[in-house]
Amino acid sequence: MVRQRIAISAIVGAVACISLLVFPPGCKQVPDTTLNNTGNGTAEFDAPGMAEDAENAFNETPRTLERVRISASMYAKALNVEEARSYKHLWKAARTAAWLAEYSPDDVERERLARDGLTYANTALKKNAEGQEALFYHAVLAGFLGDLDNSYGLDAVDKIEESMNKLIEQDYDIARGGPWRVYGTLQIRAPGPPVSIGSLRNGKKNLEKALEKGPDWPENHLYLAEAEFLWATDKDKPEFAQQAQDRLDKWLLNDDAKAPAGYDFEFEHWQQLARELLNAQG
Amino acid sequence: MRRALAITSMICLLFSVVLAQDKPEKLGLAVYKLGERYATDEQAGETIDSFADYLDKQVAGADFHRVGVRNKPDDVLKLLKDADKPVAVAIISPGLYFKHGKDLKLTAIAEATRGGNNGERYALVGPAEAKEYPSGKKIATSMTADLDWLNKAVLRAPEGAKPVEWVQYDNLLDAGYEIIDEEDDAPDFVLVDRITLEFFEKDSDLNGFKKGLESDLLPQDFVVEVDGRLGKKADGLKKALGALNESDEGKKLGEQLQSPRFPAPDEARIKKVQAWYDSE
Repeated sequence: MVRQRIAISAIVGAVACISLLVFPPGCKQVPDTTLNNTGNGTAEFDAPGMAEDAENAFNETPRTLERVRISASMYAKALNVEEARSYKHLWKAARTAAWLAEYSPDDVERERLARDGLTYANTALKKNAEGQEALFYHAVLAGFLGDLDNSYGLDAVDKIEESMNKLIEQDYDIARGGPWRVYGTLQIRAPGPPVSIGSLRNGKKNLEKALEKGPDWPENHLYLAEAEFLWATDKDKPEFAQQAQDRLDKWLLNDDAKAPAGYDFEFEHWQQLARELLNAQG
Repeated sequence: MRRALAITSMICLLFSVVLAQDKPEKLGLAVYKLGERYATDEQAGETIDSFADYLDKQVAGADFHRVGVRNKPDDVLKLLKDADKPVAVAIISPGLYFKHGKDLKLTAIAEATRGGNNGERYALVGPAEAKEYPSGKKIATSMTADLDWLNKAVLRAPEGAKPVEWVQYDNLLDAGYEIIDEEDDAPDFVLVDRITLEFFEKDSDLNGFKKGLESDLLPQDFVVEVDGRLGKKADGLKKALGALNESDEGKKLGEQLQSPRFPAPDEARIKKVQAWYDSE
């Protein structure tokens, strides 16, 4: 039975990651801070309108780091005003933060955004405790924070497990199979009990389900391929390694493989991960 | 002149003695966790360093430092026998203690309490209840690196019985799923500790498994002194380990080490298991 070291990475389009250790170097709780109540009730500018602009900046294509950074800045300013703090604006601000926490090349910025995003998600959940989008991004951001600071790792795993199980039970899809992809990736990388919740079998099943939800989404193929490589080794079934290789070629690496419209930035990142995954197979 | 030199030498000598007394005693710390794939310097080194730093503060005049973290018996034996990097204290599996305790001059000074439990009790779980020793059956475990521990302590075969076949799984949940999914070569039973048993009981696919034969209450990991190398520091260390959960810093370390505290070992339990080892 072979498991590779868990150095997780995460998502927005999707997958959460956590460095889980047998002896985690600390056991901090993922912050439960919310936006304080001292935000201005009104402002001289149109704060809800600015939050809408922040969403537009995030959705603008092609998506770039600069555009998403602008989105994050606008959300920060707009959400300083109480009247802009609707559930919708809060979870979308968390999504912008999660994107930067995944794709920024600067770890300091990544951690700052992960923390900001958690604050937005916590505030969204305060307004709507059952809000599915906020639950999803809260767990994803907890994963990023755990990835960047391992002392949050164990609590982040608990958060991901709880939220994703809830969303999966509700059959709630977001980010093209996001809950199944995030939870499945965590499961294939985490150690099993008594240390953690890892299970290659359950992880692979969840990643297959994510693919059902988003069959053309390259990221789903990327993480299912990872599971298939592990499965090939674990079960001594080399045909799964071939299947994984074919999957990566078709959806990410061949000349014919194309980014989904508007997702060129993310696609390049997935391609890089796919090449690293292949190299890791020796 | 000669007298002046002698006095100077004596002063220097006295000074160096004073310095030597002030300098904390260096004490090597090693960790060995059977069946835990991630128990390595790379994965766990930082935590063990924090643990050593904590002990430095608790045990006057001691300077603990990590010598290594291992998860295979041969590797830790090499570590414990290395005269160039002497280990004074180690956290080791009970199996290693019972098999090599005498050769390596190990003295158990404390015992882990994983999950807050006193001792460890293993159980066989599977689709059918294993009421008796399952002769010849395949049993999944994460501890095949120490077959003596499995056969002499955890699941002792009745005289004349065909031994069970131990099969290594890093992930015992997946071993259970192989049974459920009726995979080729699936094990017949899974050997679980108490914490892993809870995972099985919570899992919607595995909670139909039946708990069968159980082990005696066995020791958990020991903290051992190696060849009397702790000297006068042993008492301070025992006290610090027993009170680990009495400070915030100690509590955190206890969580990381998966043992809230390390009280004195149960001597009766040690004698019982040692007798099993000595009788074979």
